[in-house]
Amino acid sequence: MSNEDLRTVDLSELLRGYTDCWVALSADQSRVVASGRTPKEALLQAQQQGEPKPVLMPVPSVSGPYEGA
Amino acid sequence: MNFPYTKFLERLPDGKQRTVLRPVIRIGLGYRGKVLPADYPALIDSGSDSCIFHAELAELLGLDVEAGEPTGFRGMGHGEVKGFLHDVNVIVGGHPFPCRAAFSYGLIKRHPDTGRWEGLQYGVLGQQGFFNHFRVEFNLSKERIELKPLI
Repeated sequence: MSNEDLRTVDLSELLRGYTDCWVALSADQSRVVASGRTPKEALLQAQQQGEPKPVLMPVPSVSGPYEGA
Repeated sequence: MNFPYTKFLERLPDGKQRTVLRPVIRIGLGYRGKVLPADYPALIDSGSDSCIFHAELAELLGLDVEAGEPTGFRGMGHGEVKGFLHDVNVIVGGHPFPCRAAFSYGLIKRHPDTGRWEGLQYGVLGQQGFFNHFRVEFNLSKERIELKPLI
């Protein structure tokens, strides 16, 4: 995405309906392609949906506030 | 290289929600010639000493998490989170660079009674392993991050 699309990536609405799972986003991060209890499960489902290289991330029920790792 | 900020829905412990902008970029991960067949979001965090990634991704890389050197880290008001150090490649904007990173199962905690998950939605890019490779300029007003490789 470097120097290609500099629009802010907005995941706030996209992930509103998901909790306690891993999601696989489309490569342009515009839609959720698949979800699962593990990243492997989400990845395999995404690949079956024709998304060869999705973006994988967990979606917890509680995700903040973040104050440093 | 320029990257946009990412807007997240942050879910707070009291049930409230808010949107937050974070300097989170998507990265790739590689290990011993194998590349993760997915990208992964990671927070550029100058306050973190090291790079920390979800250990749950390790299986997809063929990486034996607990074979790494044990380590631990602390944040504000939290106990120690354990991790294991591994030498991987991080790929930013298509460019790979070596990174000794911690992989931790503690970035997501599962509540013992409810099973609900609590924790980070992204990995962390810290001082060692990331800031020693890039000069970083945050521009929150333009919602952009500029990375310049250090030679």
